[in-house]
Amino acid sequence: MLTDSAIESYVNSIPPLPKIVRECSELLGKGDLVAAANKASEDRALIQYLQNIVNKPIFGFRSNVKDPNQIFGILGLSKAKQILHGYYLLLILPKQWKVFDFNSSLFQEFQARLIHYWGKIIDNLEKESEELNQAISIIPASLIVCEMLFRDIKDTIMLLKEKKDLSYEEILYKMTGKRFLDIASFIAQKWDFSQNTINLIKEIDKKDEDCSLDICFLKLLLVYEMSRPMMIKSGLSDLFDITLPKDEYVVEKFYKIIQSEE
Amino acid sequence: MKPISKQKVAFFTPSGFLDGENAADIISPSDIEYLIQSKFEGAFISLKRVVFFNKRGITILIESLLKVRERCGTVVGLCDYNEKKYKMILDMFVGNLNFSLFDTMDIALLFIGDDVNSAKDKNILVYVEKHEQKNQLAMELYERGFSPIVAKDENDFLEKRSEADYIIERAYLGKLDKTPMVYIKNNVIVYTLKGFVDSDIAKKFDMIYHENSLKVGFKLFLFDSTDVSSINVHGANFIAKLSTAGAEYGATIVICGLDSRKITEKLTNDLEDAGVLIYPSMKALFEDEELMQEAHETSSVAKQKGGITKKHISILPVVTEASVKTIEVLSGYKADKKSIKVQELNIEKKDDLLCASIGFYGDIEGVFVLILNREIAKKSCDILMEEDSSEHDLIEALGEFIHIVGGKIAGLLHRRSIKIDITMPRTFNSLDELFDLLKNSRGAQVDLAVEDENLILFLTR
Repeated sequence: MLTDSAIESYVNSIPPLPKIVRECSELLGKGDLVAAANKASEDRALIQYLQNIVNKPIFGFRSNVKDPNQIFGILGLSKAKQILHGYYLLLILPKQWKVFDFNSSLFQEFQARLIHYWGKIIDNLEKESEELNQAISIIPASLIVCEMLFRDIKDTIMLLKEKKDLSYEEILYKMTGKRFLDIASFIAQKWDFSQNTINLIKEIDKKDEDCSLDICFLKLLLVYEMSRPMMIKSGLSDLFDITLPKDEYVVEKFYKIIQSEE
Repeated sequence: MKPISKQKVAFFTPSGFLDGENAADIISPSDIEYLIQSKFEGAFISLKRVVFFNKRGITILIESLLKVRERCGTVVGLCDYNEKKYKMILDMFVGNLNFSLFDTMDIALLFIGDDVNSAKDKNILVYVEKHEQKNQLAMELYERGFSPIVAKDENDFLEKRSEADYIIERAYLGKLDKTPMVYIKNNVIVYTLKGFVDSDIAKKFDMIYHENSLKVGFKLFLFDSTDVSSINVHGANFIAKLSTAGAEYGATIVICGLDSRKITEKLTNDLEDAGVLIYPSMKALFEDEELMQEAHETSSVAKQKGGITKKHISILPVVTEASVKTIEVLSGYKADKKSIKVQELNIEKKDDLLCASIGFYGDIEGVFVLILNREIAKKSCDILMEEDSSEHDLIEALGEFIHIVGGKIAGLLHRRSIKIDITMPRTFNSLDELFDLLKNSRGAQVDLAVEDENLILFLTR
């Protein structure tokens, strides 16, 4: 059975951010894209990640973008920050997935889609929140947490899921009283995300049907992305148990925004 | 997406947005093949977790399920929706609704599936706007042995709804003529036949389920032919063969609802020669006390002569490991092995002990029994139960729990190239029932200590 101490020891095992990444983040925080790009180029793994993400088809660039200055320049400050935060998760990404039929490339695809569609939503909302952007970057940590916590008891969990219509989140909650985004918020804390961002991550998880429009859209985006073919095939589609807005108009509006560019 | 299965009905539970982009991945070609191979009575899509759906998405899913229906007559449709979703579905398929709709999974299981006991004494209230549908729904429930209350009008419905355990208000019966359909009534396995019974029955009959039932120990199998138009020689031969094959297990095949328009005298005689009992009606059968006594006395795990073998001993570590691991994962308690003995079941009878068993067959055959303290059972089954669960729910959850243990044992043995299948779980209302079942049976008894309480695993043939 999963216990609080298993979660605690997992969170404790998460490494701190590397120095270069931390400095790059600080430079982006100051709005200095050029200095941040120069700093990023000191870390080959980071550059590789930036190239992988930015050249995903969803971003729609015609030619292969390689240079860090070019990457940050094209993305702009907001997305550059999100993608750098996304890189943090590579530090905890398992080399091999055992519970889910997933891998590093699909994980990055998922991150890219979240960032891209969130950008569309922001354009529509005509308002942007730094904290929400940060929250979006850390939410995919939930996928990794689920993989890592359930891998040793995979067989029992699969048999349990065959019998009962339970999401992974419901199983986790019944066993530990915690939800995936609780654990994601612990990770955010460990990596010194702002308290506002940490609070926001917890707010997404609240069993509250009435929430602000941007939080509603964020919840819907998460639910939408979790129901895409890639996630169904991997077995991850029933990871979360998110309470959604009652207002069906919001759902329809969300779907229109997402579909409008596809 | 693998469906969850309940009482011979498969439920797909997609979540989020359901549209043309992802529908084909929710029920993939391999899922369709799985449904056909498994011969489910029903296959449904639960919309409980679906936030948004469009016609394209629903149509793709329904078309997949219709392929299954075409091949093996499975009842298909949608369930778990609210008023708005229900109306949307009706609007999407005006004049073309060729599948079933049920308010919830539990309501679907009133109409399809092999368990008619769980809801036997419950209040079922039926009220749908269309009069014809309302009557059909009620009739179908009557035929399954329930006593639904049909609300006359909306006022009557509102008045009665507070007392109802099941409220059927947004349901639609699509094609519901799967033949044979199966359910269990008073320890009798009832197969409902409809229309023409010919060579097709051999293709549609779930032989694995039947054999499984024999192995679990059911002794009486009824073919209810009330709605049959006629039975030809191939249909009769099939039933006669089942009767002959069932003799090995001491099982009896009964047919009811036949008359001279449905079957020739010669075929009736052939059936009787094969040991098939012929009753005029289902009522007549259930009123035959002697036969019913037989059904009750012997509806235990089929006993086979001889004690536990070396083969059983060789799999004992796997059985123990699977049980201990499942108990530890689901209850959070640590289980320590105390002793292993080959003997008849030996336990101190206490009121707070619960038990369940599961049979297995294949490369090795036998029965695995779990006996544990009520509190440990509660903790172990907690994840399988709702918050305000009753004693009955706990017993049912214990059945699901031993099914999970059985699945784990099968999985572990498979990795060692020993192939077994598991039967349906069996739960007991008292330890005495279990002792009756295991009278004179020697087996391997593993005593475990869980939270200072005894937990017993018993493996026998």
